[in-house]
Amino acid sequence: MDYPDYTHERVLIQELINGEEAAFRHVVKQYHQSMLYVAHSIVGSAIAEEVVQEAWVSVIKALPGFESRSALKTWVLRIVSNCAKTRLRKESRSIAMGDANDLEFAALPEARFRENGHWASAPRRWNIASPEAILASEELKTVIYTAIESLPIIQQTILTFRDMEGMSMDEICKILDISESNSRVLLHRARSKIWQAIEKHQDEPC
Amino acid sequence: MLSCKDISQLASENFDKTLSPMQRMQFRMHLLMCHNCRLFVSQMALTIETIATITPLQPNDPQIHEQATKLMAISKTMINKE
Repeated sequence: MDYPDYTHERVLIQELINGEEAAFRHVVKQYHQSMLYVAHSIVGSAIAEEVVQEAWVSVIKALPGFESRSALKTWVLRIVSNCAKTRLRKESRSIAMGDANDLEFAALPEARFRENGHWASAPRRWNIASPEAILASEELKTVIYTAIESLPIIQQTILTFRDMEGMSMDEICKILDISESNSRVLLHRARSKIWQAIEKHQDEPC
Repeated sequence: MLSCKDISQLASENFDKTLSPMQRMQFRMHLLMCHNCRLFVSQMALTIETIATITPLQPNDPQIHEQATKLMAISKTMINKE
């Protein structure tokens, strides 16, 4: 399938307003999964898809008035966030952020440390030294993808937005409506789980 | 004085350069003395750098086609209403 590369967002926006198919394919490919992450993080999995569809309609309606004060994707994700929060209000529910408020919970298992805070089970040396070497191993790649997929959705969302897409923490917090300290704790937990998955694989390769 | 457990909790913030100057100094002091934490911090950096090279999940071609078609139909309806 053909996915043109839109280097200028103005061109993309104009083509969307004109109803060009390639432009719609581009935004669906680039934004849809991120929209689902936001909706799922805020309203839960059951109605996330429904909220995203509502958000798409709002995006199309509002697009001619978009003033490019932020990147298009950021604007789209804020619309999803607003749709999700409106939905929660209608259903008198609160944001389902899972362990987001439990800041005391350590990223690594307690058993890794002695009572005095020293390592009880210290990190083992790895026989890999670069991201390329890690991802060159199909086995290890699968281990990492599986570890990411098994993260709670809010951690998966923050890890994807921050580490894979390079979004700012400030933007992530606004979109997900969480504090910066919460988001940093959740990001660290997510990264720590991936570290543990790589370590486990290094100890006992499949 | 930071413990190894503290270092394990602060490793992300060290990577993201969001530690306060005092925390940063204590973090570095600890690393000077502790080879286990040096190893952990370097492995955490490698982990984060690896995650950064992964392409985020995207819908597949049939899903993209289906959703894009749906959106174009909505867009057309709106244009016709105007």
